[in-house]
Amino acid sequence: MEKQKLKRLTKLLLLCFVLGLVGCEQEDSPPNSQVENQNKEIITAKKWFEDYKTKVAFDPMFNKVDYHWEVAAKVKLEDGTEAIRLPITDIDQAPEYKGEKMLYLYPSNQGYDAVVHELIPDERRIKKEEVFANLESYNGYVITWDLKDGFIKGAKFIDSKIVATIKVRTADDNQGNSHNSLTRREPAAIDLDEVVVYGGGGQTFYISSFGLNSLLGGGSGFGSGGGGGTTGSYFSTPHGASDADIAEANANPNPCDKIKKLKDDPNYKNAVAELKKNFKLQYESGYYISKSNGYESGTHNGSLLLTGTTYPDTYGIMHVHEDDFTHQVNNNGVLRNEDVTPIRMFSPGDVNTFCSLLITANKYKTTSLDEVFTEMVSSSGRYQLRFEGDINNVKNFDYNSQILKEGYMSYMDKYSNDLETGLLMFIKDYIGISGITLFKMNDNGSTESKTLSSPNVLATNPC
Amino acid sequence: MKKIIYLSILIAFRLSMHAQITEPVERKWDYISMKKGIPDNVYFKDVNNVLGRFIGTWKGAYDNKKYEFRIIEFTSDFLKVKEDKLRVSYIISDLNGNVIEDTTTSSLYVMSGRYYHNEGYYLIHQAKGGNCAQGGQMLLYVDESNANAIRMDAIFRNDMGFVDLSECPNMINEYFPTGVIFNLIKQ
Repeated sequence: MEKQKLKRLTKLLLLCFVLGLVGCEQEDSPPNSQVENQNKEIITAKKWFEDYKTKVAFDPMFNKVDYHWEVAAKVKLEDGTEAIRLPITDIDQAPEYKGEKMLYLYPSNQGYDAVVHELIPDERRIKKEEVFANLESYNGYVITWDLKDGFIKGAKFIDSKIVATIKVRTADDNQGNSHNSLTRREPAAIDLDEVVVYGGGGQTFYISSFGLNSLLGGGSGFGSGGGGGTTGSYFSTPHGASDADIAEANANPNPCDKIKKLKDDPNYKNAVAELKKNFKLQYESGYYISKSNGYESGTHNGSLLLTGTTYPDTYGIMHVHEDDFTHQVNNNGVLRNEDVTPIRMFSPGDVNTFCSLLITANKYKTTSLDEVFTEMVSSSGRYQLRFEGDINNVKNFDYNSQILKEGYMSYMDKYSNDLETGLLMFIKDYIGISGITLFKMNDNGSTESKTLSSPNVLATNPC
Repeated sequence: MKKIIYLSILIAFRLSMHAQITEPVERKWDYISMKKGIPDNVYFKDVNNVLGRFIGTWKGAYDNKKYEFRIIEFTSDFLKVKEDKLRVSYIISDLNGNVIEDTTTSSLYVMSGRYYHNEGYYLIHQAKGGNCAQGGQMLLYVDESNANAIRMDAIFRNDMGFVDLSECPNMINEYFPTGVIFNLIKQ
């Protein structure tokens, strides 16, 4: 028993040391005053965390955990920010458990942002001992958890490069048992390339991979440290910007600046170029855009709808409103024409989805609200919705109610010569959320904001 | 006297500004498709009685469902546009007669007309059930070639749009088949 404990502590110390080597720069042999300052900061962080634990309900996965403050350290991350870091272990951790967990406390307006990074090495490629001895060639999964809300993001690494993003979902136990974490129960068969089963706190988690080659090499992928796509940048704060930055941006929204930044993004340019090829399709096409998964194409599900999944850090959606087309339907040899006339302006559903993105961004503080957008690409023009108002007024609504739908069609028909005015009036009269701004993205690279000035007159201003 | 003349001219001018312009319902399509917008005080009136042949009760079956459409004509007045329109309430039941949906009694979820074009009438359909429910365009044609069995050809098309799988893993209340014609016979 003692031997096992010693072995575990040795591993933890080793992990701590290795994580210090990769992605984090710690000063060598700091002077005594620095050591004292560092100790003070760790003590402050510990006090904050002990208080935090009493105030916040943790995800069940973190209910029975030992925090190893005795080896806590202050680390400098690749993005230049600092964090307090310490290993954590499940109290009744099974010896077969292959992973390691590390608590990171990122300074924020509320004190700290508490996040757990979990490493599950791929044993088929390399032995665990070797992995933690050399994270510069890490093979396996890294999963990031919020202590309160659970899963934030995850990725599969080969040679310390992201090769796929992963998502984690819960699943029912066939035997109806209440699972504890895999760290505390019998080992399950693990196939890291297909599905990994592990979990915590009465849940079983399945990890499934998404092949997202676009994330290779970083770019708009994981981490906010600028490098992206490696184990090093992965340990930067998962929320992309500090809480202070987000709060400041929300207090002084500047969607024009965000649009300019977006227009310089090669991924965005590629997405626009691809969507412009789709005007003649007879079904929806588009992308979901998140910080963790980049640009993900929606899936055409056969009923003209485009399905996709949003994540806590999804901040944009781009999609096409197609050109008119005529569909011929055969009725025992008699052909009937069916004219389809998509409205080349945002629909009530689009506005509702935009509201969902804003609500999610505000909840998880993954991005500033003026960065959140939805874009409609059509042969009649490209438009974005952005937000500059009070997030407390943003809510989801039943966009599929018959009344709302008929109202929308009436506005779009009445203002078929000026859909910009029609949409803004519809949002004002029917949806009633102020602060939603319409932007026209011109092909010459310029952008114009479109607002309603009293009484219901469209005002156009260059961005 | 001059004042009275000026005042009369002014009143006549104001009245003319608000004068109603009557257009046949068939013309609404032109306003929309040519992106002209619809001016205030237009009345799309069924002067040629193109909607009359749709009115009545229609019954049919398709793919294990029985459909009954009850169609009436009414006049809407919204956004300073008047319009003669069709409204379709419906009863959908399985082949054993068990009612799946009935919008004929005080339901908001009735189909409402949008425009008439090329002998077809286009309506807006939305099933109840919130954001994951079926919605789209219903198109109706009437074939009067057989006086003993006047037939309606109905074609439904789902709305296009993004669906978040976490919000809507499945479409609900998928009452109508898509991309096919289902026939109803006038009662």
